[in-house]
Amino acid sequence: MIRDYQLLINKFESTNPNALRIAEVVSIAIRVEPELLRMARLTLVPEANAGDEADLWFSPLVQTRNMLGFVFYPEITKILRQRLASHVELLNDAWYEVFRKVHGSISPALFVEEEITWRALKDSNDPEIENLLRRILAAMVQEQGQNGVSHWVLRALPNLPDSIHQLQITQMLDLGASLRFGDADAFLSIQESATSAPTPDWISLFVPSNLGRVKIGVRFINAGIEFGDLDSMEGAETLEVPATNPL
Amino acid sequence: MTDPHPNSLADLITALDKLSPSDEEAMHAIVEILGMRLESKLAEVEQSEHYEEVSDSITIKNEQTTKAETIPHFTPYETSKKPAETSYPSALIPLEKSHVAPPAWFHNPLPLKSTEGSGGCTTSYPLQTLFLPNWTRAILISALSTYKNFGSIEIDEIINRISINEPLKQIPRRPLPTMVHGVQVLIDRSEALEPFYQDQTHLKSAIRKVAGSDRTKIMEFMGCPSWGVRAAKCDDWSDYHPPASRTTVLLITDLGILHNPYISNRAGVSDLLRFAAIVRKAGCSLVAFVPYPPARWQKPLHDAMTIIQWDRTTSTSTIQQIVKKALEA
Repeated sequence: MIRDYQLLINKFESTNPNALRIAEVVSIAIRVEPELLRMARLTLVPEANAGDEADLWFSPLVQTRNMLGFVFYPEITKILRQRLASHVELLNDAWYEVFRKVHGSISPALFVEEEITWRALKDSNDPEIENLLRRILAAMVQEQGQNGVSHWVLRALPNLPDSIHQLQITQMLDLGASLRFGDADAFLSIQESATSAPTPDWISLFVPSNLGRVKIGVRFINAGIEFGDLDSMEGAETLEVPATNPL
Repeated sequence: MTDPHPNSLADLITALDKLSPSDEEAMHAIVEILGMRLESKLAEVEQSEHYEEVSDSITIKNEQTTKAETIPHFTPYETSKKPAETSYPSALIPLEKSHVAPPAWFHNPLPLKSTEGSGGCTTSYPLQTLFLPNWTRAILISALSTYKNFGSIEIDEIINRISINEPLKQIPRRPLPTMVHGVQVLIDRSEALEPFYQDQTHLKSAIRKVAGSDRTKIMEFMGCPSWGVRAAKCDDWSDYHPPASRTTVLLITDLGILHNPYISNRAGVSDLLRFAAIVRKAGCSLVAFVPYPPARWQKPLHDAMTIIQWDRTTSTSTIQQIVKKALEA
């Protein structure tokens, strides 16, 4: 599938090279508004014209658009970002000359999402990435009432560069956000992850208090201690545990 | 991440589950490897036939934290296979809830909520307009004015005529741009202009400032004005009628240049030529601001109207060309 998208990009580049260069510059964005598009063109692709903006706006690389802006297909975004990452100077110029100026006033959540993306493209081992993700986790735990941060985390994580997904803190964020939306299977993804490190002891800090609880049986047998279904275990004591999957 | 005690009860459960120790000695070894200690009266239990005498529970003491925890050995699948497993009397002793000290970063949450002044999903950064801001006024005056000879007296021209003995029927004066006849602005609101909606709004405001609100009539259309116009979104579409003679008619459009099968209301060259003829017949001049470069303009339209590239490339020299063309006309 990625191959098809790569072909699409190659085809577009052959007819609209300037428009594709603009696309690379703005690929860090969650959504591309006219202000961002214009700034990117005038600042970093001066050889392009307003027609190139329109060509990109109505191009097959775009998944959805309205008068406020457009969004690329996720697969297209991935390829465009890879291309941008191969031009380090352009990548940094895009961040400092375009994004920090134009998107400095957007929602802090969206801005930090773009900052993490930029940092990951620049240097996937940048320690600031983990620092930002930890502080997001802290914000999620300390959020009162609405689950705005959790909702944003679940939406944002899949769109971040692949290197971010390898981090344990990312998995914890995903877990915490999923649990807040009642996804009891959230622990499965952590367990199935080959890169998963030992579960940190501070995991209890972000498990939501409204997580359900189930009763299981526990008994002392010859080979050790046995846990299982309370009703089918003779002589078992009752143990109440968080209703996660797996328990 | 530094952790003084990396092994938790969950790790012990996993280890016991995966290694399935066959005897107590092996279980002790696993527990010790993980830095914990097993306090058990299992031996006593095994030696005694009177299980009911054993009332103490089994506890694990973590040597580093000295917190007691019950030993887990989670084998739910084995349970179902071995229903007849002998169970020993035991009692669960609830432990004090452990209090994990939050890491330092936990006290420094990222402020993620939009504050007053931050625009949520949309940026508050001003749009960089298509015409260079410093040039916009000059471009508009040049493009939208008609030229009348009421400037300063042309002394050279007077001397020339007298020298060839030609009578002076009227005093020659330099041409000056004027918008006294007003401007009719026709804004294309079709989907093809979607990326430039904000630019259209900026331009509309700039034109009003330059030409004056009382001399500026602004209307919208979709694709081609002859298909219908309206003064505002809430109005009904009506037939297009050209303004009074000498008024400048300004089209803000893409001239149907964008080729996209999913975009409706795309005007063809013939539609635009027909419209240009209506305007010309009414004695008005027709100017079009187009965001695409000249290489993409349809050739038949070049002669039907004055087309100006609506972009940063329009500069002093462009204005001079516009003025020259207007004076020649």
